[in-house]
Amino acid sequence: MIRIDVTSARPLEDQIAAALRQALAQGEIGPGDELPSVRQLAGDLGVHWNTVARAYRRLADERLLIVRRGRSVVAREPSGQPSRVARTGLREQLNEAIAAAVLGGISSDEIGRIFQEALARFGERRRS
Amino acid sequence: MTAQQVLQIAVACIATATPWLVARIALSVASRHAMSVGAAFPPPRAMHILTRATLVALPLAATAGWFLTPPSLLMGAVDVAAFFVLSILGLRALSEIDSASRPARDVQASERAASLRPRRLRDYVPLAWHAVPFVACVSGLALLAWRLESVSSSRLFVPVSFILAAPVFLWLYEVWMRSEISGAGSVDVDHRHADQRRRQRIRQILVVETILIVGLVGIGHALLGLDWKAPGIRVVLGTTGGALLAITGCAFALSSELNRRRYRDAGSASQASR
Repeated sequence: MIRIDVTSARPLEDQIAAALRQALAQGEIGPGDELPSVRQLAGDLGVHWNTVARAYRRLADERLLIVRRGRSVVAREPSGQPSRVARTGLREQLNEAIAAAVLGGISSDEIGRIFQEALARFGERRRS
Repeated sequence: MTAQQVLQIAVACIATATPWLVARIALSVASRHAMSVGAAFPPPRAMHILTRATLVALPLAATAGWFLTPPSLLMGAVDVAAFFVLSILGLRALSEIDSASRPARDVQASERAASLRPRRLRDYVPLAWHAVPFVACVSGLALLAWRLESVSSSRLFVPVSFILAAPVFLWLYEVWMRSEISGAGSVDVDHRHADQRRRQRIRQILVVETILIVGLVGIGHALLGLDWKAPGIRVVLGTTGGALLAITGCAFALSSELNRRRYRDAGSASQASR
């Protein structure tokens, strides 16, 4: 199950891509599993099919999905080694999140604790 | 009164009543849906106007069919005129039904969820059931090709039209079933019961599709062997029955959007929240 908020300032395409990434990371979608068609997901979420198609394409560019034109969308087998792009992306996103937290008055210790908690929660969800 | 005259009156009545029949089916689909979700559904005023106009036009068209000797070109013009004039009122009625049923169809939610399980037609209908309309349609067409050489070439229009309507309905209803499964508006607020409702709706569509195709192919073939130069009661019943079946099939296909819940589009939802 993926969720989006249409009133959020974050673009719908980003939200869908992020929700799918999370579902892949947590094992909700396994390697080789087929995903819903663009029309089905767009219909369920009440968004334009092009928004879903762009989100799928983005994940295909990140080598997370295989999009076969006019056919199914399948989750790709994860690569054994973490990619350089994934590491760079994580660093960038962490830097942004830390900057926002510091500006919001959160101390470094608390940021570390929140990060550890989030990582532990994610690990538990993945195991379950 | 000859059977030809009865046929002429029946055709005049069908041509006159078609807009009302289509709007009445749409109204019944929309009002039943509104009732099932507990939404208000004010009766559209244009429907009352259409009903009154049809009640006035029906006896006039039937009287014209009674007095004009068949086959009459003037009667054909009366049928076409009655259909077009009442269609204008019918379109207005359909538009009002569409607007009145919006509160029962539009789901306003800023947070939306979607299942990641792909849905396919075979998950909802057994393959053997699904094959019935296809088999009926293909056999009807093959039989038509085989019989065409042996039947008289005069008055083929009605029976051949009924048989050729079968693939059109097959396509229309297959598209409808697929859009119920994966198309826009397949949302249901209660996700636990969504699949059950979807299954029920898809099976209903398949039943109507099968009745339409088997009925039209059957009636078409029954009419193909009859003498159209001196039509009997079977020609009258077959033509009337086939026409009513085809009109009902079109009306249901036209009403397909009227009982489908959908999210209001993302743009309007985000504007509303600001």
